[in-house]
Amino acid sequence: MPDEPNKRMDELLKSYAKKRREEAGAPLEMHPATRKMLQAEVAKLAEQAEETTAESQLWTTLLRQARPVLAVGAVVAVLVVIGIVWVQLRAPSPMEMAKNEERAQTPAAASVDGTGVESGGTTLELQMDQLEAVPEKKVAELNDDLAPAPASDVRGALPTLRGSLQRPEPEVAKSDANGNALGNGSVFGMADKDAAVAEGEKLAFKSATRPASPAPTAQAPLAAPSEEQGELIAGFSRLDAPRQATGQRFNRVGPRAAAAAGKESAGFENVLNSFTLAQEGDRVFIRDEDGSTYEGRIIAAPRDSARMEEKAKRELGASEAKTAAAARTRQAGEQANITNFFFVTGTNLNLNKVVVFEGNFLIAPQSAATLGTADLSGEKQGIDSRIQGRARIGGGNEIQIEAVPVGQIPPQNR
Amino acid sequence: MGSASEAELLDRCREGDADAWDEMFDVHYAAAGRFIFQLAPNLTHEDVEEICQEAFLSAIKNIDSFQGNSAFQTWLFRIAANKARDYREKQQAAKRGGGQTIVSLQANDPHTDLPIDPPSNAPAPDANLLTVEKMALVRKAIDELGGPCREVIELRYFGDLSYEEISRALELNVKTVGSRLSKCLDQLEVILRDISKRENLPFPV
Repeated sequence: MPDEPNKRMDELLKSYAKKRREEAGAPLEMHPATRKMLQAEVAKLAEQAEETTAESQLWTTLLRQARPVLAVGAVVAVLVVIGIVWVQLRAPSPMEMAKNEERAQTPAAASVDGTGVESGGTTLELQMDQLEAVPEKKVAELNDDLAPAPASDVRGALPTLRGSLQRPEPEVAKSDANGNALGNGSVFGMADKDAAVAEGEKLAFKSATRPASPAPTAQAPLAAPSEEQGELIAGFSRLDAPRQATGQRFNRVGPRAAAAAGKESAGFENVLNSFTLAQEGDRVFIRDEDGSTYEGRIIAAPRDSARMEEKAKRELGASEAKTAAAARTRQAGEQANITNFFFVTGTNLNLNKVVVFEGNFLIAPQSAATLGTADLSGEKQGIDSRIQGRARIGGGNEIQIEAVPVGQIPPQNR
Repeated sequence: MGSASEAELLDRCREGDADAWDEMFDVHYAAAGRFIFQLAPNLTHEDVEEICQEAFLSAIKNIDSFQGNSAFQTWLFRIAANKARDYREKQQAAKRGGGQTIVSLQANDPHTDLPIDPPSNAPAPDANLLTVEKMALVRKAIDELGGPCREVIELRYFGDLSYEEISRALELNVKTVGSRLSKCLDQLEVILRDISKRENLPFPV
């Protein structure tokens, strides 16, 4: 219920209103002029409203009439946009082109400068690290499988491999900050001051057999190879003289089953089943029967008796007995096969996986004596030579490879 | 006028029907004039007609904004109250000199060459001076009240609207209208006493 109003004010206001109504007199009537003016305003507003309505109706009509045209235009516009997007998506981006180029250059680059190469998530650099990380016992075991060369030789070859991959100019010697001679190239990997006597011979070999190669700068002393290295260098250099690569076909022998087959080992038996091996200088090319090519370098693993002796001295405290044992080992090694460790990598076209093949090229002593060289693919090595090693496929699965030469093919057919 | 017929009439007015507007003028003009006349004691019939014309003109222009929450007459009264307030403020400004032609008391009329005798703004001599003073006090107190109180008092006593009509016009609860009116009347009394005391006039009641 509303509050009771102030009675005095209520009465005052009512009396006020009553008096004013009485004063107002007769009800007011609108003057005709006022009515006319108000009606004119009404007509004016109605006219404006009609114009607005007509304009809106015109737009509505136009939109209705143009609806098919607009629909077609919208469809065309959408198609154009889709086409542009499609064309842009189809066109290879600069980044993709760069990736393709990098992929195409990967094997060569890996073999030349040692930069990382993708191989199923593992780079070549990593593989080198893994090889270096293998304990000496393990290396010895592996070496027994691969070649009769001592384990220390394989260990010694690893830095050489790194050096050959990281140095594009194998003939140019460099020195480190301490002035020690560093190995340059695959066969100069061992910096052994005690064996520096062969330095002069080595330079002579190089200058006589490789005129196209840049001469040593002589700013730093070259690494001194051993006597056996000198022989090997001489052999390589003589065969490298024509700078013409030759090839030889090899077929695998023995069981084809994967040695360490994984879940995805199917099809691995065809890898390096029959391949052609070619050599150009210290570079090695292998062409698989499916057309896959692998490229790498020879990492000579000669029996470095002097280095072995030094290592024995370091490790065993220059014991006479141990030195004698190392000397005996050296003599035994001299009677064994000449072993050349090589390392190739590439992509298998069938599996679309990176294959890293580490192998030893074994030459029988009598053949080596005849040849006096380590030509992996020369015609003269068709007898008493074989390749042993293991291929790592896709970064994980490994298969054992043992192949023997089956014939020589002309270079132009490779 | 029933709400249905008024709604129909309003629809025709919105469409610009001149006859509908004529009917609207006939129905509401006299009531609007009477309402305006009560708003101030010094408003003449000419003033009321002018204010009423302005109020109807504004209603014609803004008929589309009328939502129909209240009766059209209530809406028209609110417009008329605002127009009357503007009119009176303009009138008072003119009295203070703004817009008023200055007449020289020394100069003669250029047409008659006689001394000028301008009309006085004071009430006519025959008017009841006491009543006029009371009414002027009431009007002055309402003006000082200002805001919502002034509007609700004008609608209630000069527009003669019920609580329900006021509540619809002001979009308030009926009880709120009653309590607001009661408080406003109390405030009006306080103001009226203050003005009477200040101007040495007897309290009107």
